[in-house]
Amino acid sequence: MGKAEVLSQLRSMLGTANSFEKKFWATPHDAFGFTCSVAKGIVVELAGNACHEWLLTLFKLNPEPLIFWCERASRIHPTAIRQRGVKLSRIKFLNSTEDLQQPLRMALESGHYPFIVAPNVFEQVPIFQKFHLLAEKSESTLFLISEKEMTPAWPISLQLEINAAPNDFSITVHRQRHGTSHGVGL
Amino acid sequence: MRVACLWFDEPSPVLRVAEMCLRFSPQIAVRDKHAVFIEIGKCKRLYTEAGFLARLQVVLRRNNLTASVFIGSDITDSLALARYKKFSVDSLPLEALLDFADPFARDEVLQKSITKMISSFRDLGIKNVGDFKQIPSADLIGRFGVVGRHCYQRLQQESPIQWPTWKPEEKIIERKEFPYFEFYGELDPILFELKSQLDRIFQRLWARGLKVRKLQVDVVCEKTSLVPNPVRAFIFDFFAPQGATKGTLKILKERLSKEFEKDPIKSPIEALQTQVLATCPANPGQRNFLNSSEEKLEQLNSLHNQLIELCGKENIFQAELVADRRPERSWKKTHDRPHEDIDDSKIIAQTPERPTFFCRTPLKVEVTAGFVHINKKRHRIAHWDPTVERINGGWIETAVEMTQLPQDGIRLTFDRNYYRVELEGGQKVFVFENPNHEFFLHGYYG
Repeated sequence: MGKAEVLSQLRSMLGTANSFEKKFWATPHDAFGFTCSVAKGIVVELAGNACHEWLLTLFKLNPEPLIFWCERASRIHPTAIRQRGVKLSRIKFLNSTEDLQQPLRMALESGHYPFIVAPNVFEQVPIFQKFHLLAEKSESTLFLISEKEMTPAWPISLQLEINAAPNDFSITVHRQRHGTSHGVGL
Repeated sequence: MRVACLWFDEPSPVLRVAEMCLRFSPQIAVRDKHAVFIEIGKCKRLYTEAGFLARLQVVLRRNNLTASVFIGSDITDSLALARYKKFSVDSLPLEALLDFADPFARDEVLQKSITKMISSFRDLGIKNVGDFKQIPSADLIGRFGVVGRHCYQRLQQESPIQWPTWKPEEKIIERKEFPYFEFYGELDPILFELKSQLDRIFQRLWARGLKVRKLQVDVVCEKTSLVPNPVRAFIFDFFAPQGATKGTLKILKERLSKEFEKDPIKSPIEALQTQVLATCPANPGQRNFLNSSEEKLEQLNSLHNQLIELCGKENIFQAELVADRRPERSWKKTHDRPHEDIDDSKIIAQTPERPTFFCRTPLKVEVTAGFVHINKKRHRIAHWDPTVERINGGWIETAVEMTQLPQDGIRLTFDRNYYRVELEGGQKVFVFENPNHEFFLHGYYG
């Protein structure tokens, strides 16, 4: 077994041990009753053609926390967000083509936004590590939306691929460090 | 009347202290660098004397000042008691007569006469104010005339004292000159000084029950041939009013670091000045210990200000729904109401379901039998929803708008049939057809 694999296994074991101390968000089920727990204070990477729909369902299930939503260009439609049951007064939008690191850090550090959504435009592990530490400290969950492949960076605790299925989602878990993924009747 | 007197043994910034005491009472007087008088008798329903003393200690501690504080029934006795640190008027030394006769130390002739009178009394064996009070008034007036009568009346509180007018400065300005210590464009020393200036400014504003809305920081540099314009002014127009140093300093730091990076300071800094340009009322009440929502809102406002400074006002916003059937115009950006609940249930009840994403401009697509061609790529149609959403209008746009855009006026009209299409692989798209039977991709689910 290589060093990288050993490290990955150790991190996974550590995450499982810590999961008893973690708090979790209410999460939506997919078409088969499958659900995936999302812990507070972690970095989550999402991909797939229905990840935003899933995310909005998650926000609807947790109706109180404020949301900080970063985008490169304004693409998400606020009317659609409201129609999915998420109040627009909860969301602060940020459109920026510049470096998103600084605003994300500020939002994470403040601790006022338990949900933070941003495009995954980062590559370096230290950046993810910083996000992970800040998220853990403030108990905010950072959702990074990937349009390409999932990143191999270790500070990301949960990687989900969510695609559209007839009348619902199909969820594929690529990495789950905290909590569990389980299905009803599976 | 109940008057509190703060006596400073060393010359102190009494004007600053007086400004901070505005929270306790509007009736304040000062005696040149040594004493502040506050009339608290009329505020007895608002706070007790013990509560007042406790709050005053906090104000003094914040300013690193020490003062003896006494509460009396008039300016004169509170001053004399505070100055000589005695608990009864009778035990005061004879020198206290100076404070009784001229509490604001403005009449030098009177003071000279009283000093002479005091030395005469000493020769007669009178040691303190208690002894002085026992002298019959007729003897006193016969021996010392008007001065003796004046002192006697003041001791008996028979002669009222007019409070000299004192008003806080209209402009709140903090300035620091650097005559010897020269530093150039390093940000840290500037921020260090700015922090102390902001601390003082916010204390002054807090006393007046205000928050800052607009602030100007002037960095005054030495005038050299390289620097023809030595004063660099930075104006901060805050989106949400600021009430604390911590958040404001972060905003200042953000702007200054950007500006100094673009245009560094090339000559030594001579002075740093911070001036409040605009204020607004703050919540004058006490902090709610059971609910921190106000503090949270202030912190959110501060974060919002910092983000505006970092990314620009147009890029930080909240969304609000608008009653318009065109999907691209069905919402607008709002900047002035952070996380304030808005009732949009009526609008949302009348709006058909929208996809999560919208294209900036509709993308022309081709629809053939069983396929949609998007960007020359063929996608098989899995399901074409027969429900059509027809929107049509624009001709009733206001005449003003039409006259402003005579060339583009036609663009304001719209006539679209929207369809929801599911492609192979589960991707759903939102397309519309115009009267020319052309199809456009306008949005997609995701």
